[in-house]
Amino acid sequence: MTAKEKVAKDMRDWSEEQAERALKAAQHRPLSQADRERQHRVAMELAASARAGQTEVVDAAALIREVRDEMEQR
Amino acid sequence: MILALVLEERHTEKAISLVTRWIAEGTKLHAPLLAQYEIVNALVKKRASAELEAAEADTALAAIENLVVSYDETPNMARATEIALEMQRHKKSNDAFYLELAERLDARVWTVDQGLANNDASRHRTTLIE
Repeated sequence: MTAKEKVAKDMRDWSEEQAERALKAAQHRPLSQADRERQHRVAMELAASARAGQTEVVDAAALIREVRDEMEQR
Repeated sequence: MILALVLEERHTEKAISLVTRWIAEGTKLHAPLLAQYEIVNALVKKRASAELEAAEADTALAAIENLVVSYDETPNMARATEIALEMQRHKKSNDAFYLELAERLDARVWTVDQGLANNDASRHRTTLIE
């Protein structure tokens, strides 16, 4: 069975979301510099929007250490 | 560092400034796939403690999905193990995957974790964001 045939066979069971993600991954190409900068602007706008409602200042390193500790204790 | 972009953190301004400069310069940004799990775990913790609203968490994740970062899915596990042992962090080897990726790509690690920077300064090119 070729790779194409295997994908076509397996994808019958995929959800639409799985198919979209697989397609996105398969079509992944290096971005042009202009696209990188445009995508970065979108990311920073979203990040600013996420931060806008936050009142507490967190310690990111400490937060990561806490979640690692919690995962280890499970 | 990625977390500092989407959560109010004392390094947020510096992290934004650095990442924006790197993008403008055409510098490629990489992280181990593990970073995504760690970020999600951190956001889950903030959501569970009601310190982060659902909409804020969703927006934070959308921001992270749009970051121009390549996530590495093929760690050299043997080398990561060696690094973890060298760092005497065998109980928490997560950092070793970041360092292994940097070593493999001949890249610099940027972190807001002083512990990592102090522990690793003599072995890898690690820079603490202050």
